[in-house]
Amino acid sequence: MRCPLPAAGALRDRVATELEVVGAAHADVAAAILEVRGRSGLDLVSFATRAGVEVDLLHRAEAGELARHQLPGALRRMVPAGLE
Amino acid sequence: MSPRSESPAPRPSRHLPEPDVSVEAIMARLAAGDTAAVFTLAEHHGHRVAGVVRRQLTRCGADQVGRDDLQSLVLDACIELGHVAAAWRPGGALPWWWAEGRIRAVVNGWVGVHADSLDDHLSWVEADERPLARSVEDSVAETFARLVAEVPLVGLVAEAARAANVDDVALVCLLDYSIQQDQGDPSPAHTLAERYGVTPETLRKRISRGRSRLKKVVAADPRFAALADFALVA
Repeated sequence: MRCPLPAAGALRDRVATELEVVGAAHADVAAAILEVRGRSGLDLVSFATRAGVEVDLLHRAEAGELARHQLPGALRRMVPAGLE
Repeated sequence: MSPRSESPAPRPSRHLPEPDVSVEAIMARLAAGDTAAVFTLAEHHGHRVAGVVRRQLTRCGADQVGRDDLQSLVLDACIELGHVAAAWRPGGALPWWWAEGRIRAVVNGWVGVHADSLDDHLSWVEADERPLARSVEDSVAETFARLVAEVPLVGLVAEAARAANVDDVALVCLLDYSIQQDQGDPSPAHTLAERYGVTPETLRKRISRGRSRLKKVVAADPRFAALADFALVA
């Protein structure tokens, strides 16, 4: 039997918690973007290129430095509304 | 300053290489600190990690585990693999077998949390006398040395090794090899070669030689009869 894939959001919550522990200001936003990139299988540079954003900006977003409203549209659409 | 007011963003590109979701690529990204790779691991290899989780659950007698709990354990195991990714080397056992001990700890922790509480009959145990769970595993050599003193049968193994002229390093190597085999490592020689500073072929020969010597001594000396059924000398 093939194992069910991890539930959407469950791993994101765990990662957000880990980011929060290390002091990320916007851990939920970061985890949401990390989830989209992780599921895509792309590395940071390839994903930034594909999304049309600066690598540094993506890096900062994934580090939890940016709130949802500070993100460019391509990244903001990856973060469910209500997460800050 | 808002990022949106910075220099114009690059245009999205559709012409990129396909993502590499091989185990080696994911583990390399995890080792480099790429947190997103945990999601990649769960997405593309979660079902393999689940196999190891299920095996550990079965060992704990927890066969009837719900889908949500299983998923949760798989995620915890994936995060745990991320923590130890830097120590994993390609060419040896797959990460979930290589780190089976870590996954076992995750499962044991979960089973422990969901186990019944101890009865009151243990309430006499003073809080400061409770044994503390070890957070760091001793090396095989340290563990073996401790068990030699504590467990008579292990002491007998050490005595048989001395009688067979299998030195301490070779004996520990043999034990390490057996542990890797027991954990499902398809190629323990490759996994351990680097640790012992030899080639896989040399390590295989060393194991074969040590095992053969031990086997002869155990078969010939009645003092070691209790070890005859040990996998170590089989």
